Amino acid sequence: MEYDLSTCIMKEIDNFYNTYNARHLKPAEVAESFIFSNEFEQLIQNEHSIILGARGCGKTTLMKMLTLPALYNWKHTRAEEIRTGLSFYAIYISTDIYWDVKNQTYSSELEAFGNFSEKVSLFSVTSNVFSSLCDTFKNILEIDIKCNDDAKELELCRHLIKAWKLNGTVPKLEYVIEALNERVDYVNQLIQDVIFNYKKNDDIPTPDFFNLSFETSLEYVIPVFERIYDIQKKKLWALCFDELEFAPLWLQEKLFRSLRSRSQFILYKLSSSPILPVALVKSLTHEYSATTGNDVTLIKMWGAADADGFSKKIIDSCLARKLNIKDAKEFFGTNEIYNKTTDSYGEGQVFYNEMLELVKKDDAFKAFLIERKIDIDKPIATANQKDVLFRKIKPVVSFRNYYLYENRSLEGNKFKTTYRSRKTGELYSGIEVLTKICDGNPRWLISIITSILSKTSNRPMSEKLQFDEIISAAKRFQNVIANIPTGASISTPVTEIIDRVGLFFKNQILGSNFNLDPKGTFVVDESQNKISDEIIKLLEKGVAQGALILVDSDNQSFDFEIRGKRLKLSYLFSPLYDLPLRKYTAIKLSECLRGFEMESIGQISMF
Amino acid sequence: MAVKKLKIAVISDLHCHPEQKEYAKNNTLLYSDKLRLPTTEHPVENLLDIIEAEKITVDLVLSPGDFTHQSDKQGFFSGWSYVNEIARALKADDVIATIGNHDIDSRHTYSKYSFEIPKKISQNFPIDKKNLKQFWDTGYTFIEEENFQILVVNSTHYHTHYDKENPMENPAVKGRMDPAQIEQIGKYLKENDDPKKIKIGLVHHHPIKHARQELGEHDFIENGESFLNVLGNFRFDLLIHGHKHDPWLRYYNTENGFSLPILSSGSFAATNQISWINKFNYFHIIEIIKDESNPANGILETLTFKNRIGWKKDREDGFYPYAGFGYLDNLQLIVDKIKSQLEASSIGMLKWDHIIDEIPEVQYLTPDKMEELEAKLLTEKILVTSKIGVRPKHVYYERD
Repeated sequence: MEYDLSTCIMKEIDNFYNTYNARHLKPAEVAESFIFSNEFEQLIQNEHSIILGARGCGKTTLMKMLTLPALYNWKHTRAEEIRTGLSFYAIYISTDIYWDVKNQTYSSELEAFGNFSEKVSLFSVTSNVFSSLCDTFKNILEIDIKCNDDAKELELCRHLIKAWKLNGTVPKLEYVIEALNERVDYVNQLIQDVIFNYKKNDDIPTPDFFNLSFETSLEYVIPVFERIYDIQKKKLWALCFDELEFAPLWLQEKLFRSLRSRSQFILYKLSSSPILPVALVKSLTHEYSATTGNDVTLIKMWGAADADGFSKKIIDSCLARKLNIKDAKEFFGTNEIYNKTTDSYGEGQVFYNEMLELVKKDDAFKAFLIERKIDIDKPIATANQKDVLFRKIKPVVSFRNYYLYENRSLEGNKFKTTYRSRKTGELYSGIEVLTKICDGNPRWLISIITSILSKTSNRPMSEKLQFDEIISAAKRFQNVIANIPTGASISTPVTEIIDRVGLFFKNQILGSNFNLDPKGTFVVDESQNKISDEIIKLLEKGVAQGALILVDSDNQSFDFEIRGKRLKLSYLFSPLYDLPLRKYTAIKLSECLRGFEMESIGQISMF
Repeated sequence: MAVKKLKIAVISDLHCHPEQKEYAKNNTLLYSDKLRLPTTEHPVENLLDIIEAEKITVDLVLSPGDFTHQSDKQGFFSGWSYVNEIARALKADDVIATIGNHDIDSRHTYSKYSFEIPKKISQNFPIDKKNLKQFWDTGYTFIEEENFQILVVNSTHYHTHYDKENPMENPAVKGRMDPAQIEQIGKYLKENDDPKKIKIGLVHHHPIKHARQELGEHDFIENGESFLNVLGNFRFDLLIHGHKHDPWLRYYNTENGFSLPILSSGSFAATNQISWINKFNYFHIIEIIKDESNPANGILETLTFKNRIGWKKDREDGFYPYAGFGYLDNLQLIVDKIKSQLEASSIGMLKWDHIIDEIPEVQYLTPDKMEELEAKLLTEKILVTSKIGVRPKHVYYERD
């Protein structure tokens, strides 16, 4: 039944994304499994920061970790030092997709009413910031300065009630929050009223609280709080806007502009997708705009030097918590292709034997060795070749040896290539693969490790089981990506492009030619004639979801345009296209996609 | 001063029956063949959890009828045993019930005699066997104990026959009491009048008009007003009825000027009222406090059941979780007392629990009086943090 299928898919997407999604965890819970990283070290600096990263990369975890309940629930050797040394109180604000009133919530229904939807949008954001500020106040009082002086709370709340126009509210923080929520409910009813009972050009009721602005309001309210509780100049205040990619553009512009000016006591910590909207170029590249490294720390959550190390820590922590096992390498085994033992090229070693096997069935490889004057009966590398050549060809040799049945040269530079279908686990198992396969994305990694551990705790863990779970995660991920909403104008899923690219790269590794430098990444063409804007939109969605990853991204600058950028497929796709976990050199996207109908990407002819 | 206290639980209109295949024919959450888990779908099982967790106990369980639906035998046994099961959990001394129109075979589906089934449910149904003869013979009986006097009325007593030719002549939907019967009740009360006892009436049909929400104007007990006047003469502390599935606590002014509190219980498990009038299912615990011969004060705590949510007491869903009766003085007196409490506090804010301790009569207000009090407080710039019927946490005096 169709219904069953779609609910099934939705459930799957939901599981994959949400089970390990920090969005649904309270800060104190986030802290329980938090793993300290360089990114966190950067984020806690006394500066504006911007975290950029794909879904699941851990942005929300980092942001929530800044709050007091998380910091005080975090058990780590550095926890105490960071807690006390932190120079700001974090006000955590989670972006609500409904803030984007125009595009997400009511779209055309409010079109006839002028700037009413903008006002509602402003109101929603403002209310949310106020509530978050109240939460922060409560946390400071309960956790940090441990003060439950009713008279002080009353004085504070009387200011809040006046500033936020909440007359008739009992002056306690809990009722101020309640009144803010009640007001949101009131505005929701007002919107319905407007939609159903008003005509174009009617005077729409605009309550006076629609004019409140969170920036000016905070500049008034925070000093009042500091005075009442006698904590003037103790700390700064960080407005932490999480998942800004879902926020309306006006807010993104406003916040990114705010990075320029530095108020006395407010810092901004913003998180968003890797590719920022082009509309922000102005706010971020203006001559007076904030410059990274100077006023703003830019934290890119991909391609970090210590990504593998971070993944390894996650694996260690899962193992330790679930099975109380310390040595992950011993437990999951090591993968011959990626391990770095120095003598792995010697005579009699696994790789040496693989070369001998491949020479027998792969004429292209044989020719490759002969051309480089390597003895095909005894392929021993010179010291120089070991590092440059053998290290380079090692994965290609292993993959060809694994998948090729025969590759025979025919006349006129042609080959007859036949494959064998194999589903043993050796190519995609072992600690090296597990640390790489998720590109440092903790949510997927935790999902994979947890499902492996839930199947068995036998030691050592079988390669096949690891492979099965990786494949299953890869397929689920592919399913999720295939179902990303792309908007009405585009009917092709992102996976269609990924499929093209993946198959192209597969041919680079397993095709009839033996490539010393197979292509494994692509550069998006600058020209619109080569790659249409529709495909660009799809690629951006893919990047936001982590299906595609920017390579060589400059850590000091923002990425607005995907054209001209070098991208790779997420390694989680590698098992689906029989690809090694290596980046390899780049080719133009247009060349990967040859055969694509550019004008109408809805009708693709498969090759 | 002798103060008498009585704590009762009220379970009304269960309408139990086996689950029907045709969905529209079902009218209860308590099928006689219903599995008990998940508990949030079973009003009894879920309530047992709460009783155990909160260690709730009562002296009596009162049930104003309609255990079964359309005289279904299986439903009847289930309904009666559900009530007894709850009573045991509450450690009640006794279950006192009466029967409703659904408990009699008024359409003569099973036999020619309307009372064939209810008379054979159990030796102690709906009350202890020592009072049963009087109950079935005269349509009422009195249960006398040291602390209380309970009048149990069978408002279906005159549904002895059903005339197919003339169905309006003796319709089962309408309760009836006979003037002679009422006279006998008055006579008994005169001879057995202890004004210090807690006096409660229990009947299935409503003795006065209950016509809000288009619930029908004509089905109240025939001669119900004369019946209430008798209860007024002997200053009854509370009358409890069922039938309407619409909980309502109010006063009826009898002809001698007495304000008689009347509780329409609402249904414990029936479902038709959910779509009809947006009322859910209710379970009440009532604490009655009687000081000498003064009219008693009462505090109601009401749980509301919603399917898949279970019993809750945190919001108003057709009836306040907290209500009461007995305070008939001027509300301004309460306002003044609250104000002076707040004036004496350093920051003008107090916990509502403190107000309850200092001014206990705020608990003895019927829902409409509570709302009136809220309005009066507001004009004095006194804010409560929720409806009084939901028990506010704080009260605040906005002095400027």
